[in-house]
Amino acid sequence: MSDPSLGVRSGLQGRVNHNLDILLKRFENISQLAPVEGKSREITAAETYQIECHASAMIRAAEDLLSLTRSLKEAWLFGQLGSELGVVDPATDENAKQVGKALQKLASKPRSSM
Amino acid sequence: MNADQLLLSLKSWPEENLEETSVSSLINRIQAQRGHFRDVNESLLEEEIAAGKDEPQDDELHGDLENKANGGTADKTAGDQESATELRNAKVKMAALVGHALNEALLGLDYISFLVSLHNPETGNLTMSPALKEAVPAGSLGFDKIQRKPDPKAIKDDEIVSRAWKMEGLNSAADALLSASEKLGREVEKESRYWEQVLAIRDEGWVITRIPRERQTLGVRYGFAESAAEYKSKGIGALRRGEDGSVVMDDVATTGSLGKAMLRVRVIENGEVKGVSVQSGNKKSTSVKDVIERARNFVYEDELFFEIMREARIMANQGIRTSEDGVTLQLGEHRSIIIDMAPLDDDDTALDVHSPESGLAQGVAMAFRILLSYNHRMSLKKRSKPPPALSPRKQPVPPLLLVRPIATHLIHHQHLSHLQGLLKSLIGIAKSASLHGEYSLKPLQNCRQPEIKDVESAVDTFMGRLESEATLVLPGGWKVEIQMSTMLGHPLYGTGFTINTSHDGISARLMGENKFSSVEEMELYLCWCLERSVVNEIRCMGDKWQQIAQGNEMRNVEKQTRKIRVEATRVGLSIVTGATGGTDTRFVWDGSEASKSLQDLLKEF
Repeated sequence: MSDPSLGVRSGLQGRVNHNLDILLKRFENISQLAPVEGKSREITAAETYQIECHASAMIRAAEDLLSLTRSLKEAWLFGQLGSELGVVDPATDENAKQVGKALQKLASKPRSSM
Repeated sequence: MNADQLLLSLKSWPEENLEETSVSSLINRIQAQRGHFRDVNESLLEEEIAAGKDEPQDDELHGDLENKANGGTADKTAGDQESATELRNAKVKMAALVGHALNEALLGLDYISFLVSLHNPETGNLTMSPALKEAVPAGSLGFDKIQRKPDPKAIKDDEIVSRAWKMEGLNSAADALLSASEKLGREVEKESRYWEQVLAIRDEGWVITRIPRERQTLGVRYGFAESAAEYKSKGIGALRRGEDGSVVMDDVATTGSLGKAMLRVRVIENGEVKGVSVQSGNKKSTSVKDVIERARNFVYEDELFFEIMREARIMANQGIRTSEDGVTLQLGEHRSIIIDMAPLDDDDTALDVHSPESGLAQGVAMAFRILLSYNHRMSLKKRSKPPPALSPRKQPVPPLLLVRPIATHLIHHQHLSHLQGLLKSLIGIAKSASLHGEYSLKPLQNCRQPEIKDVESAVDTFMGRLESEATLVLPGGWKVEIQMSTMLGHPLYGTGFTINTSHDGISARLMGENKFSSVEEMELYLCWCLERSVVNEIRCMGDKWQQIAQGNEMRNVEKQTRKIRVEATRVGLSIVTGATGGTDTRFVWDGSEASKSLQDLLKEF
């Protein structure tokens, strides 16, 4: 059962790792860009912008993880497509037998007159 | 001389201008006049005409005036107009802003590519806009780093400004991260609730799949796998996520072509509705499971009705009429059964148990549903077998067996009760003449034998040809066996009677098997049998009477001129006697309380 889903799983695993990577790296970048010593204001402005970019990259990575969990759930759900509906309940057969016998008796009651 | 002259115009009557009245131009003009006209109907327009609103340009002005005068209707159209203009303005503004942004971006691109073209001519020239290339030759902008003496005041300013900017940037980043985390937390909550409920539905047994149209939404499949092609795609309901995460199922009112309706069977006698079947189902509950069940029921009923109509259309030769709404089965002159669709009853109408016709209607409705499942099973079996050989002709789907078995049963039952009535009256007539007679009836004889093992054989036993047997013992040693079989198809196309007579062969020559296909013929034959059996009885009663020439007249052995004639009809048995030249005297037994017996009567002659 795990064989066909192995490819899927490794893909998902790769995505998880990739996203975690992004989260950590971007945070690192932000903290690297934070200090303000000895830079001209133009550079600071550019760095501010960079900080914002990294922040949104982090957010995107987190949302990606969320969608990953959803794909995981769907994959799990469809990995076992419920076959419950195809099973014939044996109780219905029993019921049918009883009803059929009763019908037979009822319908073939000989009616006569003396 | 003529005060009013007749002025004739000799120009031809203007033709209708096709351009002006074509639908597409009409729609454009209406939209220009009053925006979208989805909610307009006749009454609205009439009110507007009555209010004298005909110039559409100053709509807003009129709108204010009409607001006080008319209230609702003008309000709505003015409001629609305003929102339409707002929409248009917003669109224009947005287009302008986007154009601005595009311009700025292109300018920036030009600048950079110009700069780059000095050191990297190919890349630069590729991205420079043609206007710039014409204005200035490529590569004429250069840059260099210069060493400037740092200005301490400027440095301090820089520091302060940079600090402020950095703080701002960091704060905004932190805020963004925090709010994003909050939002994600809520999403996760909603998702988990949604999935919990979806799992609950799945555990009930419903199959969850993706919706073929929107790949991202889950849907629950409540259709049936064996439905015809039209119903396969209708069997899925989308499960969407609602406001707080719980599952909301798509509205299924539109899945059936007839809306929320179930099958209804009515028994009509002499034009009056005598019995109705009940359509039950929780109309009111809105829990997802009930919604799914209701949807499944509706789709089932819809398909059932569709298949019934399809089959009934080709059964017109058996007396089954179809119309747009329903199917009518004619049973005899005054009774008929109508099958159509009706919306769900309210929760309090119950089956009228005292009326047998309602019971019949309910039984027929239930039988239809069972038969549809049976047909699904049969088609599943057919599908599981290896497919037939490929041929250029496409085989049409044969209609399912729904109406035929039920019609067969109803017609058979009707004929059976008719036969029973007939036999009873004949025996009654015979008895009232103190003659011996009896009958016995064995209905649905061929349904007794097969053994019922499971659902399929339970239904199978009662399909197909129905046969019943009756045995009639008539005076004079006659025994008549009647076999009645009903089948709405080849070879009978209705009810057929096979009558076997056995007697001592003296008062009648014809013996053996006779086949009849109409009820009247059978009646006549049975009456004839009664006649001859009475003749035989008289003959055996003591050798006083003798049959004349195999007919129904008998001659007294002693007085050769004395004749009697035996006649048997549906209403009575009669003995007619008379002398030639005089009037006949007739004595009739009609099954009422016992009058003179035959023997006594004959002694009189």
